[in-house]
Amino acid sequence: MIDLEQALRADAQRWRAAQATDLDLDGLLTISMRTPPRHRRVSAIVVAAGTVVVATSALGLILNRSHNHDPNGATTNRSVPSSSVAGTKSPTPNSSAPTLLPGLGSPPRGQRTLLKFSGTTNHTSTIAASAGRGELYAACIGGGTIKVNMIGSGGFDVNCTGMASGASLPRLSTSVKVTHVTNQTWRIAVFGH
Amino acid sequence: MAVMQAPGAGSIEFAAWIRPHWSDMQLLARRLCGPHTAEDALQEALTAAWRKRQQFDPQRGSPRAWLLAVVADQARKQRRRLRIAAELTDETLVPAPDSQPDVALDLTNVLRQLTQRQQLVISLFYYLDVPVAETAQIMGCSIGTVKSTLSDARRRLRTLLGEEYR
Repeated sequence: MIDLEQALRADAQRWRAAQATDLDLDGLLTISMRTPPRHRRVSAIVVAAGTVVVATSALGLILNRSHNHDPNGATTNRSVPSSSVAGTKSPTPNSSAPTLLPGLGSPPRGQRTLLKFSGTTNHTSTIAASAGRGELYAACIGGGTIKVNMIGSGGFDVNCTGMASGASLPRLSTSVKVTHVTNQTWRIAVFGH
Repeated sequence: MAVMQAPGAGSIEFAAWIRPHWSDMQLLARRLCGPHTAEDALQEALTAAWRKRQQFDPQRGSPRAWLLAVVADQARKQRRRLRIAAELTDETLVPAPDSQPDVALDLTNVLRQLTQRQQLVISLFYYLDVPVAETAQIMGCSIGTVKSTLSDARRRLRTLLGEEYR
C-alpha cells in the first residue's frame, strides 16, 4: 500500500528541488509597468534552430512570421499550438539575409507588441520593430547580455541583470537589430505612442 | 527585514514588495501551466498586479496570498488561451528520476485529470507548502471549502490511482 499523502509530499519535494526560479523580476516588471492599460497581446515564438518566428494575437491569429538566417540560431523556446501556425513558411537556416519581420510593426497607440526569443551567443536577429512611432524596451529574463541597435537611430545594450532599457523609435520603418552577446532568453516590448 | 504591508506607489517600492514572494510566484506559475507558458503568465501577472496594486487590502490577506491569487488567475487565462493541456503532460508534472519513479509517474498521469480548482489546491497545499488558511485567501473561499476541495481531490486521486493507494 502506498500512502497518498506521503507520495504527494515526496513528489512535491522532488519537484521543488528540480525547479529553477531565476526569472528576472526587474526585467519583467519593467515591461509590465510600461504596459498601457489597453494592449494587444502579441507574442513571437522561435520554434527551432534556423528558425521560424511566429507572432500570434490573443485571438490566435497569425500576424506575421519570418525566418532566421543564423544556422546556429535560436533555440527552441516553446511549442506552438498547431492550430496557430497555419501558413508558416519552412525555415531557411542557410540563408544569409538578415531577418526582417515586416509588418509586425509597432502597435497602435496604447497597445503593445511583445517578442520573446531564446538565442545562442552571437545569434543576431533583425526585426522591423516600428511601423510608426513607438517605444521599445528589451529585457533579458534569463540573464546574459544582448545588444540592441536601432538602425539609423543609435542603440543601447541590455546587460545581464535583466534590467530593461528603453529607447524611442522615432520614425517609420525603424529596424532593430538584436545580438545575443551571451546565451539567454530575452523579450522585447514595443509600445505604441 | 521589514515586511511591507502594502505595495508602494513607485516602481522600486513595488519591486521590493514583490521580491520576497517572487520564487513562490514562479513555482505556482510553473506548476499550473508549464515552464514556458509560465513566463507569459508571470509577465501578465506582474502587469495585473501593477495595475491593481491599490486594490490590495492587508486586512483581507497577506501580500503573498494576493500575488499568488493574481498568478493563479493569469495562469488560468494562459491555459485557456493557449490550450496547453497537452503541454502539461510533458512539462509541468515531470517526475523526478530518482526514487519511486513509478509513484511519480502515476501522480503525473492522474494529477492533470483533476479539475482546475483541485489542481490549484493540490499545487498550493502540497507543492508550494501554503497553509490552508492562506490557500483560502488565494482561492477566495473559506477554510472549510479548501479542506473539502482537498478531500475531494485526494478521493479522486485514490480512485484514479487504484487500490494500492490509501
